Amino acid sequence: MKNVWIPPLRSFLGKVFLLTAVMILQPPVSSAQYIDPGTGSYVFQLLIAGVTFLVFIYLRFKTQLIAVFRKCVRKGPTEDDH
Amino acid sequence: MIIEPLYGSYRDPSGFVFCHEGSVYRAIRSAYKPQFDHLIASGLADELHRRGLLINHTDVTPLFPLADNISTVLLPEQVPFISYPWEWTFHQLKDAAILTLEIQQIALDHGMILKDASSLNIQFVRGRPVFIDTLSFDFYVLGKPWVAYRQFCEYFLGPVAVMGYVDSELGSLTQFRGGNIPLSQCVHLLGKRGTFNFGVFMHLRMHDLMRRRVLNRNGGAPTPQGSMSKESLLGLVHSLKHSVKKIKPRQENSDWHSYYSTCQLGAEYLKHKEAAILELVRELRPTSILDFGANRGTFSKLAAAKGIPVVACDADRASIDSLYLEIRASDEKNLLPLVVDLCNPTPPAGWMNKEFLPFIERAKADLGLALALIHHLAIGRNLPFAKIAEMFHHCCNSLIIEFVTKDDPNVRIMLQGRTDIFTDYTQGGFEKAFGRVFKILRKIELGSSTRTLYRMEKIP
Repeated sequence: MKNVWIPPLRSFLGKVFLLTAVMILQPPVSSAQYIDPGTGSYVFQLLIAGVTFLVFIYLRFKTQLIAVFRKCVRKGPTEDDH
Repeated sequence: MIIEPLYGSYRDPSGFVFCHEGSVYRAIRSAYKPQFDHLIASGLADELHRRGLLINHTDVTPLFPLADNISTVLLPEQVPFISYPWEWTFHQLKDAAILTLEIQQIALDHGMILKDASSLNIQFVRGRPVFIDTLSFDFYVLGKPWVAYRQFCEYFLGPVAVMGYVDSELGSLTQFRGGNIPLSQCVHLLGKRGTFNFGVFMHLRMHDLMRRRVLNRNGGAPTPQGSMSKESLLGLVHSLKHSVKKIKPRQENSDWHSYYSTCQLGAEYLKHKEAAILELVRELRPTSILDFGANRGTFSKLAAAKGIPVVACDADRASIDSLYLEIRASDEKNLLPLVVDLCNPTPPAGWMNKEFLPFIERAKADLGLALALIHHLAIGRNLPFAKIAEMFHHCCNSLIIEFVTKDDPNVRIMLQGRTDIFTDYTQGGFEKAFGRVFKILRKIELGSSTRTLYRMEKIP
């Protein structure tokens, strides 16, 4: 194992290596889909993906975002701003 | 041994459900084996079982000689009473919707996704909704939107919104389309209601608008390819969950909701009746009970507390919903409340009328309870005693039934302002009609009222 060369992850080769590894480690994709997703519903999901991404970000970083917001509100305009 | 799928088990090619020696089994086709193996290996099944969200199963493959295309046979935990979404109340459907989304969130964490989101995947076991379709999981492919998004909106979000914002009675509409209300109908029924629920606005109104636009412009074009990040997908699931949670039922007037609290016969009658029922239940030791016309389940709860599985039916959605909320809060495990009108019980439905069984075929119990019901059927719905006796004879082995005379204050109210055509409505007539198909074993007079409790046994 000592002789196996792993490229540094910051390099281009490293990124290629990482991507390949991720692809190999992913579960085999053989979709068992059997219902019609509906073209309109499919397109609609893609359209609202931005909104739902914001929902996810808000939930993920809810506490941090609220803390930052509160900090800003409490701080208010300082003398330096005038 | 011939493994024959149940009539209604045809939609999903991943497997099917079959019956063998009185138990229900699930066969998994070889094509679905990679997904099923991942469900187990990823720990997803374990986590869902641990949280009580997915029905437990045992792998019984060695017990069956398998065809080439079948890889696994599972024996799931048997559901004591199969119910359908159109027999559920607002809160039952809402809880089923939230359960589906919780499973979706957990599945995504394990690299899987729900490939369908139908309310038919849920059953009520031990008082709470449980996901019963072990084959609903597929590999999550990064970038792909949720194929069951529209299905979720039509089977859950739409019906819950319509029941909550318009009228809970509209839940029965799902029966005509095998569990769903199409998006356009949901939007039409909602009118301007629910506009301030952003989720309902987006996932129903905008979704329907987009669906119709694409349909008009795109005709039969193939599904476009596009990418949706996992974060967006998780946000979508959360947004749906938040939208469902936000829907509250409207306050509806119900004549039956306060039936026992405003009972004109007084506390002594109720006390006597409770004691008599407990005594009879103790005497009979039934294995299952069907409470016909359960109202808010005053007597179903007594029996369930003794550890006997009870199905409590009533036509009044508000009463059954209250009962569900009560058992949910108290963690009662032996009671299943369902909305069923005995004069118009759930009919057979689905393909060839064989996919969804009628209520009367499912309604088999060791003991039937028919308390303060006979006058509503005989006088309220003009049903002759013989027909009522026939129905109970079909459904249960023993029967505890309360006879209410014409002198009773409630019957007097029912007969006010109408011609009394019920000349056969006498205690003698009741005993004669029921005596043809049941053996009357005991009679208990109920306190100071004119009501009598009968214990009967079916004549085979």
